[in-house]
Amino acid sequence: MQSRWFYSLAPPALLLFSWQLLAAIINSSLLPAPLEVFSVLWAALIDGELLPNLGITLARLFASFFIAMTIGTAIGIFLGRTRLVDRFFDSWLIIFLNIPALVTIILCYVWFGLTEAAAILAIVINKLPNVVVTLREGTRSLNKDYFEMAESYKFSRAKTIKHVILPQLHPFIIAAARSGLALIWKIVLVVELLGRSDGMGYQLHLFFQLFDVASIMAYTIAFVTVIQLIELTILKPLDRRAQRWRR
Amino acid sequence: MINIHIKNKSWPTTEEAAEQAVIKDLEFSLEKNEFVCMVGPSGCGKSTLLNLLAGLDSDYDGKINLNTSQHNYSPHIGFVFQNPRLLPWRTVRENIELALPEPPPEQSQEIIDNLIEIMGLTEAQHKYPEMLSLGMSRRAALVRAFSIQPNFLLMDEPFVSLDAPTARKVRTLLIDVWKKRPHTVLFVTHDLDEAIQLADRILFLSPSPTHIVTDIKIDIPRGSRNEEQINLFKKRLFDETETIRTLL
Repeated sequence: MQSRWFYSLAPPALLLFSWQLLAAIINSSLLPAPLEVFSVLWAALIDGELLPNLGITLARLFASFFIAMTIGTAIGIFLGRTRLVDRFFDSWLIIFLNIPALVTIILCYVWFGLTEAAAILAIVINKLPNVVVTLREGTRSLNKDYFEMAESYKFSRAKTIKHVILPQLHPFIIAAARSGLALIWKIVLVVELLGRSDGMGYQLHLFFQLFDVASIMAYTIAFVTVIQLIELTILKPLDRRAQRWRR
Repeated sequence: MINIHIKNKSWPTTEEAAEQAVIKDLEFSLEKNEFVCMVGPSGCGKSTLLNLLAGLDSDYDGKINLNTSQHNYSPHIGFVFQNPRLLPWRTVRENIELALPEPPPEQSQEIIDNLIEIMGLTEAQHKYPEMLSLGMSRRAALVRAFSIQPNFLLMDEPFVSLDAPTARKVRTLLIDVWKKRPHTVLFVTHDLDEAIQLADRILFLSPSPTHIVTDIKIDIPRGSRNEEQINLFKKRLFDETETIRTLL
């Protein structure tokens, strides 16, 4: 028990300490000390500038996350089940996996205008191939024995999906969700920076022009905290719940 | 009465191998409530045959007539696989209940409770399969097959790789349950002792492409099938039919 506390508290404490030390040595406004950053964070929370921007960014993040996960899962399962189609589209996947995020974002804005839909589309296109590839692997690894069992006991389609397919795909869906969240929240800021007039990305861009490093760090802390909370309160429990049958 | 005549079953040509005949002119019938064992060399196509009978594979040339009465009514088929094939992410009890038809027939809960008790799984029923020993998983798979009250039970070497005492115990349980609620059983094994202990009749299969070589009735009364009787029967069998030795 003691060591668990140690391992969860000591590393962040050391990080804060090193930061403080470095800030004291450099003594420049380009690397503000932790205390200063936290007071900026507090001020931004109080004057109500941070939360609306954080909210709009999270809304974009969730919208594109759910679209990419739904479509990607469907395509991934389809490709995993039909070998010929998969062979045909395999090169497409590799191309889309390797297009730089910046290129899709610029093209989406150029072709569809500086709109919300273009922004979401750009994020989805960046994330989609990832989900497809992960779920395709998952579908390929589905165990035939269980399908035969289900068929011989006349499982209905719904029963087969719920009790035979989804439990086997679950780890792959969680993996796609995890890496997806990490990827999307990096891209969403770039999308906002390039073509939106609100959200975290836009704000960071403003702070950059003002060289306001304290605010940049304060916003980063707020965002990372939210993402960590999602991981801890949603993804981890979901994962644990589905893994409880394992030895 | 179940009539089976598989004229031809083969695996199609693939990149790795040419077309390969697995079953050729295999013909037999099963009386109602008869317990029949099938013995044959490994790789002769026994599992393939069971898959055909269970309807898991319909790519064959021949006729499978499972009608248990003149009313052209398709029987409940129970299948006990070589591996227990319990869904690892569902508990033992859930695995058994999932096999029931929807909606579950009346009294199925009592039937399951009863079977679980007979098979000694009362403690284990809410555990996940990975926590069970192989013997327990095999018994759970038996309960799953019995609980749908099958008219026709297919068993594919269900007790392989169990230690001898456990296997003996599970075989006795199997016969007990079958006697209480008689139904037709087709039991595939490569263990002749096991077949003599369990069956009313044994069908001997040839190597692939497989067909029936001989058909032997077991005339030892159930209840006196001890080791000595089984060995005597085996000796007589080998003396009478030379070829059987080569099929084991």
